Amino acid sequence: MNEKKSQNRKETCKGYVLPIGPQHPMYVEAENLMLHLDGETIVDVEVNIGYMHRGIEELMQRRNYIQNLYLAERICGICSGVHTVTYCQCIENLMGIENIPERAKYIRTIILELERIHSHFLFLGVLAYELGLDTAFMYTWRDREYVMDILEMISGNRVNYSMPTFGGVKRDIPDSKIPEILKKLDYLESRAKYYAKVFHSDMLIRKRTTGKGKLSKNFAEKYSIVGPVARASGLKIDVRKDMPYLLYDELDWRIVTKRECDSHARIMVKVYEILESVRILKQCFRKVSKTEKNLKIKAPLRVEPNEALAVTEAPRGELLYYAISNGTDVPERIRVRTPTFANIVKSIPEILKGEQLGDLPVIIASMDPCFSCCDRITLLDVNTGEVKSLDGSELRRMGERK
Amino acid sequence: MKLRLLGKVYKKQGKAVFVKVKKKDFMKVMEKIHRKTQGRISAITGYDNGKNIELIYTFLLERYILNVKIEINRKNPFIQSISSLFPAAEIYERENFEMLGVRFEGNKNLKKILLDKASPKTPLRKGGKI
Repeated sequence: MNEKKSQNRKETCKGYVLPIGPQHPMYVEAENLMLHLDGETIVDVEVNIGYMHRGIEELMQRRNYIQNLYLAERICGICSGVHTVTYCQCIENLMGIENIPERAKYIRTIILELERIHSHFLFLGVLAYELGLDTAFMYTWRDREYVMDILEMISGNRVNYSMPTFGGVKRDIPDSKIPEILKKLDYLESRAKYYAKVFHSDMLIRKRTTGKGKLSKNFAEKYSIVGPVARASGLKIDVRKDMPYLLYDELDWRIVTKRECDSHARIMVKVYEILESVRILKQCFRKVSKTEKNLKIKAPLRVEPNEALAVTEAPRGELLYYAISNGTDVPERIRVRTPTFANIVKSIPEILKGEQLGDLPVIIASMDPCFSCCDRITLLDVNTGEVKSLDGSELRRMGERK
Repeated sequence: MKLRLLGKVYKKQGKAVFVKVKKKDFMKVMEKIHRKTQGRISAITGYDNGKNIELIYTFLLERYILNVKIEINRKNPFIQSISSLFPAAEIYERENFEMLGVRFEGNKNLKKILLDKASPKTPLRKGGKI
């Protein structure tokens, strides 16, 4: 009798479809995950993206190059700096500008690396929050404020820095501010070392993340996975080393890789990348004061018919811009390939298959999305047509209980 | 890999090489790239130049960035899919399918990826309504 009951129960649990989103801005975009469940185990996942599609590629074809500089900055809120730098590099390639002033190169590198640190701290906070470790979340986000302060000191803004322009940068970093910035970097380094210790050895974090959400090296190679996710799967790829741009080939740093392929490896790669970024920044700040105070060279308004591309390493992976010009001041076509687009569609079903529903927030967070706006989840029983609603906090509680 | 054997090298920019390939040689070239390199496909950029549709396949190889350009007929745009060779190309093919209306023969999952069902067809084409 009992067996029959449990069998019946198993059958009714089969065929659950659990929609997550679309009001669920996980990565940069809002997206919809349709989870096919067997009890609490995830059997299959459909990923539907495009809810945040704003048609920026089409908009770029109607504005001139300077206006597009500001539009490119607004593609992403977290990595706005890398979008402008890549756009500038791409248009400089299009214009035939080969060498920008040394000081401008340093300032661009500084902006990129500061942004990487703030993005990685944000990731650690979100992940700690999903694990139910609110203190760690507050600690990491408090330390993130130090990076934001440095960015504000340099550019006057916390989010959209608007520093690079064609042929160089708009604003200088005053030499008088460098000692104070270096002091803040020392603090950040000590904090990153502390987090490396905590995230490496804490039993709770290890239990919730080790062996969860595996993404094999073969899969990452086959599906061209990029960025820290690929590096956590043992692929030694980084555009900064493979196709060096700005000053990355002159600076002393190394690529962080892990072989474990799981959520924990993805966390550790990011923690160690913060330390590497601090190392790069210290070298930059020490050298930038010795360079000539020449910020930019002249760039033309109109661009001859040509085509060019630029590839850089954003905090989440490889970012590609491809531009075609037609002789006017308006581009003919600009194509943007963000790292998220390469990473999310194929890898999310792969890493979630066979995992427990309670682990979903942590695994998705370990892929570096923006899970903070976790809105609402609807439970739909396919057999009875019954609809239940779960809000974000309830799902988080479910994760904490596990 | 000798790039001249792939097609006409029409531009070089730093570490990026731009190669133009004829449509009939397309599959042969893609198989060669797949066989000879551990290349990762980065993007397929579609562009409507008014007469033809240009597709630019960007591969990140070990030492350089390879861009393979191919022109296809604007009125009847179809090309073989490379998703069997490079599985990552599937999403980029879907993107070009919805933005420019290019049909990729052999892609089993050719449906919209970014746009809504009600959104205009082929918005990135010249003269397309938005």
